[in-house]
Amino acid sequence: MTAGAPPHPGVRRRFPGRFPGRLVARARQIGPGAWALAVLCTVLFVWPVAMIAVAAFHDGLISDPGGTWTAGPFVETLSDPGTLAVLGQSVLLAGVVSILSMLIAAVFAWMVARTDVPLRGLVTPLMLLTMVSPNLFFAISWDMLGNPRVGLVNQVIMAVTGADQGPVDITSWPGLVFVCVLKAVGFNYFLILAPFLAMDRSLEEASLVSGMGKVRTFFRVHVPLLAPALLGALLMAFVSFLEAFDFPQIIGLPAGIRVFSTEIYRYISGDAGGRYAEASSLALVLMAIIVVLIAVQSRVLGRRRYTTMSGKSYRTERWSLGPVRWLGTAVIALHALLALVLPLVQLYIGSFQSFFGLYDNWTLDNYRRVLDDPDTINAIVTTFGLAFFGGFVTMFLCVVLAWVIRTRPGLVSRYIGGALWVTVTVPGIVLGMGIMWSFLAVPGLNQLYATVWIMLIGLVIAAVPVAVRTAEGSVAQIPPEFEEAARVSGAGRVRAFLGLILRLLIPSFGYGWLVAAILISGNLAVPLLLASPDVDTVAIEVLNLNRSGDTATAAALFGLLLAVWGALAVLALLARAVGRRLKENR
Amino acid sequence: MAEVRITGLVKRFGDFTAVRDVELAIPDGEFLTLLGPSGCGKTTTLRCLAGLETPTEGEITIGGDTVYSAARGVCVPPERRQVGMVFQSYALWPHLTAGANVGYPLRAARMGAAERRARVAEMLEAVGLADRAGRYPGELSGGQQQRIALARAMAAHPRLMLFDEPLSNLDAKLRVGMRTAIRRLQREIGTTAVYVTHDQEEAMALSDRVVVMSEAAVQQEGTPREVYTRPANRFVADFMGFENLLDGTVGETDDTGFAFHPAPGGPPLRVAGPPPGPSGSAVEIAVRAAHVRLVPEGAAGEEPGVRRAVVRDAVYLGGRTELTVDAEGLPLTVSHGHVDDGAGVPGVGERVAVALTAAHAVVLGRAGTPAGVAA
Repeated sequence: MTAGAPPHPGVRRRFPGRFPGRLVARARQIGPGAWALAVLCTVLFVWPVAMIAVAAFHDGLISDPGGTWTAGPFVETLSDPGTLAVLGQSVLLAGVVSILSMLIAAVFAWMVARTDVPLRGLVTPLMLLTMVSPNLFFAISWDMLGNPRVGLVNQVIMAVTGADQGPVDITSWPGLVFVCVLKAVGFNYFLILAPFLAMDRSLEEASLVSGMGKVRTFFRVHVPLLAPALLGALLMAFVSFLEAFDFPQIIGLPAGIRVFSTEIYRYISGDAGGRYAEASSLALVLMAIIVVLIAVQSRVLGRRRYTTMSGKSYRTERWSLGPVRWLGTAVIALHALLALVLPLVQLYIGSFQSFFGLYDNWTLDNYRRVLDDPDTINAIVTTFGLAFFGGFVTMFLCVVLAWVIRTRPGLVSRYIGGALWVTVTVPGIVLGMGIMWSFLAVPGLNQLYATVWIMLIGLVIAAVPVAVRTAEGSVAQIPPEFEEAARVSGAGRVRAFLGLILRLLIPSFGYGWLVAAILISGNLAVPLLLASPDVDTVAIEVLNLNRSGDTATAAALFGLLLAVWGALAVLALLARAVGRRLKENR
Repeated sequence: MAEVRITGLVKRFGDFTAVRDVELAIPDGEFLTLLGPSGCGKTTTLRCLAGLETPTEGEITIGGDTVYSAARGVCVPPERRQVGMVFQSYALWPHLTAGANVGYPLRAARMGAAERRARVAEMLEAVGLADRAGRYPGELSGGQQQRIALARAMAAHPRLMLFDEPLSNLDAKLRVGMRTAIRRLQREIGTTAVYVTHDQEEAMALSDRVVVMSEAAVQQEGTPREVYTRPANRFVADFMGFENLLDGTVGETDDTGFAFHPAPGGPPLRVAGPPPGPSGSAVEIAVRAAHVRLVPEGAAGEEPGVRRAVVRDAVYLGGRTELTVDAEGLPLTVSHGHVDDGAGVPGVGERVAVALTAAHAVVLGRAGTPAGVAA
């Protein structure tokens, strides 16, 4: 390069701040593919939320040309004392559930990571099962189990004590908290386990050698080191139960417990139906709280790096708990009983009763009724179709986005990352509403309303927050050099991704697909607003049957859904085993 | 400042014996290194000193205080032993800044805030990281983390410093610099130090005394020079880099030494010093490759102790060439130092003659029985 030549473009990019118009220059560097992804993320993740905000200030349906712009309903909703009560009850539920579930999950994680408790190997599979089981499963099975008159729990207690009234009523504050905690523990366990396993034992030993006793070491080393993980789990649980729908709707409402999601639903289609601006206003308040919570969380974590230092750690034996370890085993067994065994037993027992609670008249009528009804058959087909395609689409989308974020840092990646975070803040019922508004507001697109497609889109978006974590995890295991090597060898960017990266991701892709599919099939809140008489899902049918008192049929229908998933899971495990066998023999 | 005494130390993990009957007396202010391959029990011994591991049998005193005694049922927990320890993984607390990490033992000792600040500054200055006090460990390089770990361990001026392979995660150049820093700080504070490593060069460079361990037991203890030049047994000789370990029998003895008959047969080699037993008794000797001389081929058969040899392999190593020769059935490794470019070194297939430098051939004792070489 001669002395008078203009500087190399690469030099310019290294000092972006010094040059005016750098945004324009940067925007030019973004390729068409990246633009497309950014637009897609906007349409899917950002737009529905924006529409909630718009709808909060619009009187009547958003598509209604007669509607007027007004802040009236928003102000009214905020100043309504009823809203304050809803806020109080939502916070109470989320607070109690998140604290309890975090403590219980920490005990399980500690037992698995550090102690010699027998049966600790069962904890992780058990937690995995409770995590992937739909909320609806826990909600309806415990609704049955904890029924004061005919629930299995009370039946057993009454048989043992001879009392003629069962002591347990699940439709109550303690009952609602209990069922929520069962589900939340599975979720929190996985957030907490990794830090427990990763913590370098020498950090604790260094403190002891420094002269701090065990108690001071616990408060000065263990607590602050695990605090981010515990706090993170606490906040995640708090957020997800602040926006909980299934549990409060089925177990809380009969007890008069009203939370955000159930109130929003009531404003749209309950006894106070049609008050869309109020529903949107409430949703705005809820999302604002969630955004603040997430901001607080990332602020608290701050600039401290909690990565465990590298280096070999001296092998240390597990804590020997002596006879106390059997207490740990008992805790594990109790959790398995409450979270899995009892609900399954009750669900299937109930499904064979001619009327829920009649223990002397076993019948297949419920299953016959389910399978004879073309509407129900339709719902089953729709549900599995949505789960199958929706799961695939979700996982594919998430893998692509995760890969882009990982390998092309920059403006677009940051935007995509932000858009993905939006999905975390949106409760299912709000998402359903946002999608409804988005589609109704656009002429042409509103033709999709009440079709299966709008439901597919809603369910995909709802499954993204979980699926993207799975995708990030599996993408992180593939070094970017693999793509670079493919590019150097002459493959284009898309070909390298589809032909090489995606192929390497197949095993974890399959797992993510399954998880997303299960999530979609069990989702209640999203289809509730997007379904139509022609298009509905098993979850909605189950809710309707439960609501109309036909508990036994609801159990049969949900039992069928679970049985199909169980069979699919067994098939998947078999396929994996056979695949391994073939590989070994090759 | 403390004398350390370990008596009859045994540590068993279930059926596995990690440390067997270790006896050590470490005078006040000494820098002692436990040297050995991984799994030899050196780290377990160190952790017993720290109190992180409870021994199965034996007694440990630090500065006259009994910190462990199986017989008397004494076991002082680590936090009350007044020791400092540098961990292999550094073990810096990621939630505390470098300064807070260094100040932690002082806080544990309930030192006043002003005095603590001064001491932290002094320690950071001593390791050359005065400007990094506010950084978190994750923001420091590996070498800087290591120096913070060193400053932390020494901050409270412990009476005993323990080092668990602290340099094994650093690259070669940093390691040499850290070695100097460790030794300087230990002298300045005047503390007794026990250092664990598997690197013999590190052990040589740092220690007043080296203890070589293998298979849970002490194999030899002595100054670096003693251990390097007069290994007590086959294990130590091999570990200290003696290339030639030869089995054979004692032959004719005279005032200067004895004739060594290697097991494969052929003419005897000369070894200086008294023989370990009468003529005909079994003996094992160790000879460094550098102490096997190449002599003119004609000398073979004429001088005693010289053997004919054929070069089987030659590896050029810059400053020297390492030759593998077959000396009338006896395989030997010979190191041929270069004065110039190494052009005169015999090539593969060439015939040469070899002789041992009699004074440097070491007679070995049985492995596991520490021969009194240090004496």
